[in-house]
Amino acid sequence: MKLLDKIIAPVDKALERFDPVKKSEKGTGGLRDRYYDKTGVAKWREWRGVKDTMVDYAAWLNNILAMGQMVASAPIPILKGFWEYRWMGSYLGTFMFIDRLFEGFRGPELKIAHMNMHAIVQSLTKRIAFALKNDARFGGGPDTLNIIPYDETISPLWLMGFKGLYPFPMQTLPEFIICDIDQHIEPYYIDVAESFGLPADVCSRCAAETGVAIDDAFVKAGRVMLSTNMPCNASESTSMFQRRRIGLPDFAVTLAMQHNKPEALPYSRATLEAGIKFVEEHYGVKYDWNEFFKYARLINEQNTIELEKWEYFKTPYSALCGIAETLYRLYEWQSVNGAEPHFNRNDRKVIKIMRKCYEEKHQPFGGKTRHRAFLWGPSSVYYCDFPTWIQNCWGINIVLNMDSTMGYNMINTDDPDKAMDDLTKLEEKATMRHHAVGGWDNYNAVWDWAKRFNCDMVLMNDNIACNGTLGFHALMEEQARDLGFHFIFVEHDLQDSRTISRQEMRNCVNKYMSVVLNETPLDPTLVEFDDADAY
Amino acid sequence: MKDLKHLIYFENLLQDAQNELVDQAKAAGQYALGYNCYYIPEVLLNLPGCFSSRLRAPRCTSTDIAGYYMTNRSCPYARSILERAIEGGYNYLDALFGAESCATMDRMESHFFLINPVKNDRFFVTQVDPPMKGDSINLEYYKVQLRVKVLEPLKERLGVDVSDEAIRTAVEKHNRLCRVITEIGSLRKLPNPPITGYEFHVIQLVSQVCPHDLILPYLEETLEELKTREPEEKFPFRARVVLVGSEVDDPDFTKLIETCGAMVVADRYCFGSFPSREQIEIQEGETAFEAVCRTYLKWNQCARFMDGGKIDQRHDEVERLVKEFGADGIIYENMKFCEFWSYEKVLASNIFINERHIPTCTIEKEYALGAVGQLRTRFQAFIESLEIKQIQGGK
Repeated sequence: MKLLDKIIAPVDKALERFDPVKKSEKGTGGLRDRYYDKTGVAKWREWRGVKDTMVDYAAWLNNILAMGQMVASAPIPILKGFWEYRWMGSYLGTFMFIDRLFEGFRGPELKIAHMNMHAIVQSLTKRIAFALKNDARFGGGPDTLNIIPYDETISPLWLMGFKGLYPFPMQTLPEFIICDIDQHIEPYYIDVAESFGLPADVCSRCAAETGVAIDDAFVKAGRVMLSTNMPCNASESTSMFQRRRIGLPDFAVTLAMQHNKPEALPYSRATLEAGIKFVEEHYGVKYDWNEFFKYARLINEQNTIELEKWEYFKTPYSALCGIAETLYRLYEWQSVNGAEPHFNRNDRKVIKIMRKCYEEKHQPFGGKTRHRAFLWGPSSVYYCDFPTWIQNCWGINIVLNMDSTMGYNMINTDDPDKAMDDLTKLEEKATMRHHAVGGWDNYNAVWDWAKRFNCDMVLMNDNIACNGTLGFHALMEEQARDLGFHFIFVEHDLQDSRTISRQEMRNCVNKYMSVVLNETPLDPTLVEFDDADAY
Repeated sequence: MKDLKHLIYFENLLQDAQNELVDQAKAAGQYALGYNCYYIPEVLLNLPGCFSSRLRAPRCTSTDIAGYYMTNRSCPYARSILERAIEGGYNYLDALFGAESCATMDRMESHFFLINPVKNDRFFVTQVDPPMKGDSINLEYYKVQLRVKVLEPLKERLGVDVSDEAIRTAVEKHNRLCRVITEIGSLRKLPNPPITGYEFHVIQLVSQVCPHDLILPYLEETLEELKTREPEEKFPFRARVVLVGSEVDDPDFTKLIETCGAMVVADRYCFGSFPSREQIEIQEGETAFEAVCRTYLKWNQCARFMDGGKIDQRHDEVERLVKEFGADGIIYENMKFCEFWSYEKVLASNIFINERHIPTCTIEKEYALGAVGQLRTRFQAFIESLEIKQIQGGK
């Protein structure tokens, strides 16, 4: 490789003038130069040097291949899906989405980012094909009645003990992931819900889910549905709407909110056990602990590797950072949770690269990071590449975020009784609810996390309709001041980019960085630009 | 109708959280125990030596300081309570028994121990994790929560007798109060009731915010008075409605509806008598505490319950009230920024209008009644539509 590096070095030097990162260093341009205004459509692909451009192209091809396989595996249902579901069309923006996520990424951080993203693409494409093949709206398939539709904020591990059944997160395809890709898709569903009478001041994510339900845009399959009280009030409320519209027998998986208290565990455990019984009764399938242990081993491995990753996150030498960490951890934990072995294979490869980078003291982004930030609160879904922007523009590396701290306890893999306790603890600490519910101590934990990961800054995602965050607004600011953290509230409306645009979110940071910290941007082309019409 | 003897006295009692009866009870050495939500059984806060005080923030016109802590985008009820606490309006409290029944309530109650607004050395806060389903698993959890977060702190921190005998005595007293309020409330079923919705709202509220021992004689006297009270010659309202929703603790809101022409014949909201005035029946083989938990979980109509049984119960209960109280329609209210009631209001109005064919009006309001012009217009239009239906024979 070193010889190859020597060969391509002069080429890289000669073509440096096309590299936006180098251009911003020289003050001759930057990452935003290659875009048509407003649209988010690039005039040309990002030149990253010969090697990294090839890595990027190879990843692009790899993702195309996965999508091709998806279409080939179920061509008619996929076509019908495009016809039936408005959200299907938005998946065509996937490539633009991935390009946007990894702007400015080079070297190992680019490689890891694409490995993680490809794992997600593989999983999602298979999931879309499987769902549409078995969608009762299109006549159903062999597994239509073997699917267990569940609320996506439940982690699927506990359902993996049902051999021959397929847990399926209902909201992930039409609502959660697709809003990451296309900021314009969920406002449609939000409008559907609001046309039905829902006030506009509730959480936009849950309003969107309600709209999807009213619009009959959920994939139709399964014999029952599992709703949940995770992670917040609006989520609980929309579940009641969905249950009624979907019309399947339902079981509400209501776990303890105050999950750190000793009395919580028996209750949450009893609820999960009742849920297992409910599925057994409706599907006629007995829960198989050996099957469960198989997947529990996989999540244990994932969490073991995750904990090792955290050790690298604490240093300046982590090649996994920003959105490549955030999105992957969220998807791997919440949506996969041990159910897809290829994530383990990916983790093993990634951790090897991370170890090597740490040994070589490789600093990501050319060592241009100025601040290390912990991201707290529910992230804006319509601005998935915000961590990328904040690194490229201001040199703020988002080391870890609230949702990455989800359950990381190990699950016993030979004793069902002990395993049930471990599983309950894992489930109780699912997305958001680990810190957003259960009172002050859980929410106030941000400072300990930030300190553990050597952060000097906390970015507080301020979803303007999140009662949990709003209720502690001033106390968070006072805590930041008392504990000596740089602290920025980043206002957003979770899934409705019309209320607070991406630029308005950026301005929250711009103002703090320029007015309070008196810093200059790394890439001035990224400070003010209009991407309101972009995917 | 002739004015009720104690109505003005009751109205005055509602002007401040710390009213003269609260002062009397405190002077007698009783502990004042605050709560915000039906999930905290009032009866457990009325054990010997204690009295319950459901928190209101009467005459609250500005929430500037609470807005700083919780932003002005959060529930105005919660903000108003916090504002009143910071103003010193709850310094009489010895404890607050909170419930994480919604995120805002949790945050508001957390401020009671984080910024110490209540200037009372004895004061402490606990918060229960309230159940979200009506099944046996959730009943057990409810019992654990109330034991750990209510009974044990009462015993350990205030030395209150929480024995079964003490709870039985509290239940008996509670039932006596409930009987009186229920009897008064049932008068609203009559075609031409000798009481207005506003008057009942005032009576129900004083029963929640005053020490029971001290308010009960007044309530009993009022009941006797009502039994012989001559109603208006002709029913003075154009329609009868059931009011459903969240924290309606301002009788002027009921008055607003009634001045628009509809009598509020049943009150199914958080400060209302449905639920809150159901008697507790201790069954054979169960302790008084178990009976309290079972009764409160059974009757709880909170919009946060997620299981099908409880969701259906919410709607069935409203329909029952419509039938029993001869209502022509329903008004669903939700406090601004309240997610649970925002969703419930939309779902329920759809069910009532399209499936159960009961006219339903939905409104959103602030905690403090300020500009009421828009609400008045909504109510007038709704009442007019009810009248037209009556003229057309219900078509």
